[in-house]
Amino acid sequence: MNQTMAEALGEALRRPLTRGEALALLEWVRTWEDALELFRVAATVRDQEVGRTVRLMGFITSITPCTTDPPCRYCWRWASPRAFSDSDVLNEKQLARAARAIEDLGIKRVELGGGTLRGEEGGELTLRAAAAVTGACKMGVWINNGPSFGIQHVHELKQVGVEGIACNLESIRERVYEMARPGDSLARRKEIVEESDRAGLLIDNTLMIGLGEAWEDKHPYREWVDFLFWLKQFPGLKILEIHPFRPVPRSPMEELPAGSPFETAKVRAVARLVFRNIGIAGADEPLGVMAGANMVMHAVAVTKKERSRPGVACGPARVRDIGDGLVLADSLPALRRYVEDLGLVLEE
Amino acid sequence: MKTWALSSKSETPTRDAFGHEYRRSAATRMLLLAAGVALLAALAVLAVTVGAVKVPLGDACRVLMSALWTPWRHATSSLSRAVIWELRLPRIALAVVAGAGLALSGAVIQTTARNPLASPFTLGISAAAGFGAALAIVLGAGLGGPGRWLVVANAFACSVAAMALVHLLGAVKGFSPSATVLSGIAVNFFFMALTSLLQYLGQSEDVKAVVLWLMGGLHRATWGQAGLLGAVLLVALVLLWAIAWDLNALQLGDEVAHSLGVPHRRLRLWASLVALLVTATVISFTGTIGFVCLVGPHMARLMVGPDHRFLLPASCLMGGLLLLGADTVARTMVAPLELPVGIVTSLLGVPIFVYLLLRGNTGYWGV
Repeated sequence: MNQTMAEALGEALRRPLTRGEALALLEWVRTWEDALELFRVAATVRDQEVGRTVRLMGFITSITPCTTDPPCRYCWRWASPRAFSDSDVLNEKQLARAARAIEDLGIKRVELGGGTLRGEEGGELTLRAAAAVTGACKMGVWINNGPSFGIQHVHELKQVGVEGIACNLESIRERVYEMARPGDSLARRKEIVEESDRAGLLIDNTLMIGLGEAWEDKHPYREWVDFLFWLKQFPGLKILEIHPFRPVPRSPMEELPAGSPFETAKVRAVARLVFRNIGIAGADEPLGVMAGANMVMHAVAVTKKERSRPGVACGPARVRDIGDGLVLADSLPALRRYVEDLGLVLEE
Repeated sequence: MKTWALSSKSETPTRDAFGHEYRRSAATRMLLLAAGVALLAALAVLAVTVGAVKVPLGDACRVLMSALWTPWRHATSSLSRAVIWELRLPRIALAVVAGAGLALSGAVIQTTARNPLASPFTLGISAAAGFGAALAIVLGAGLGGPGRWLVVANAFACSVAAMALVHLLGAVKGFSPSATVLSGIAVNFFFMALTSLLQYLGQSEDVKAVVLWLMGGLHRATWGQAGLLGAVLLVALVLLWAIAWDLNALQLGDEVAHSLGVPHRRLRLWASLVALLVTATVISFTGTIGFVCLVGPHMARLMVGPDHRFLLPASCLMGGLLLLGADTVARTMVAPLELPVGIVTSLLGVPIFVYLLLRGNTGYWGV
């Protein structure tokens, strides 16, 4: 570790990183030894700012089918035509049942996931789904179905009691959207995030490490830092997810390199030093916990029976039938054991 | 106007020849109305299948039939059912009844004002409704009701106020057609100025909401709205159809109507009140949707002629067809984005209107 890096990390214990420091840290940390120093500082900041409690997010999917045309070139829709199809979508009665089942496990917030269904119908279905869940439980309700709703719906989502929005960018590069998400629009997603923040909704967003990188490419540190500092303008940012890109079999991007777990952990650590007291997902992985993560998404997930179930990294979920064609995948037992082994606790 | 066919054996038309021609003409018009209904049904089925969520025709039919036969229900996805029953069908129903209501009002106002360019919108109703909506959106002020109902209630109240104002001003000149139209133009500009003032004073987000409302839209349709408008339309249609003969007389001029024993002043007042009330109810829910009330009656007149017994139902049909067609185009033309239907009705309505104006081989009333 060079002297300047040591000084930057020392400063990071006391104040948020600047853009230049964040970029420099990502460039400087090239060995596991240096990474351990970065992680130590990030984990310390986490413990100081938000404690050693791991926050949990429940998940219900799906509320909208995906009609993005062409599909994103790394999407599960290439592997399975059923993925994000009409048959995955829960009706309002099922959504209410799913929400109550998750709340019964002590979960305090739930994310309603779905594919991108643009147009007024997407907005209407999202509103109805949100109203069905907010009316059935007291959990904080988050919406994660891309730009399935327009700016005009954002305020209505707030009115029906939605707590936050996850209109995930995954990359902040137009070139990546042109190559990997030709049916989507970075500008539209940004607009929704901006309007959500103006409307007083909380913000969750995702950066996908390695998305759009070829084998010979260097890691685009500057782009990742740009992503973090674009989000920094939003006071409502409360959750940040940083995940590695995983090539989906049979998708046009199946032969591209997977995102690096090491780089993912580095960016999580830098994000902790930039944002300090927000929820950073990834606490279901050892590297994530070491890098300052304090949140687990999909800790409990409800889907239709026949759908593949989202889970967590640290172990298999217990799956049980909750009726009306739904199953609940409960990862809490595995998570609790794992988190306690690392010296943290799950939120009660 | 088409003249009655003369008897082949005499220059003087016989009673039988009149009767035969009349029955044939009536049958033709009834057939045209039936064809219009069939076209409307076909357009409705098409509208059910297109949109952001792709619903194949077979699935759409199964979803529609599942209301009659439960086993079909299991062959359809809950999403298709939700989209068709809760989003598209209410919207289609609202488009049909709103279009019908607007065109019906247009037909009546064109008759009472004896002016082919007259419409409820010329009489300031839409400007007043826009002001009411803007008042609710920008200042949150107006008649009671939560959220959207404040906008609806305000739009309706201001429309009724404009209606009263136009008639009060018109009463000064004995409800003459020209006085009514001129009063309407004055009221129109008055409310437009007030709306502009609110837009000038409002926050940018509120102004955007006002502009969107003024462009009209059916995307928030519910069965309740469609049912309410349908009931209003039905009552208005029955009331107006009952005085169809009197309206026929009125369109020939006050003197003719008077000579036929039709109380033209009272008739003009009540017929236009009913028409304006229908318009006020429609645009309170849909926002300003232009041209349907202007073009619909002209197309109907082209189809069945000026006899109000046929013109009124035909106007309803044409209005329904126009608005449903325009809404389907609005939903799909630049999908997944959706255009405000008011823009599409104007874009479609202008060329039709220009065509009707340039036809020139018959007079305006078909005479």
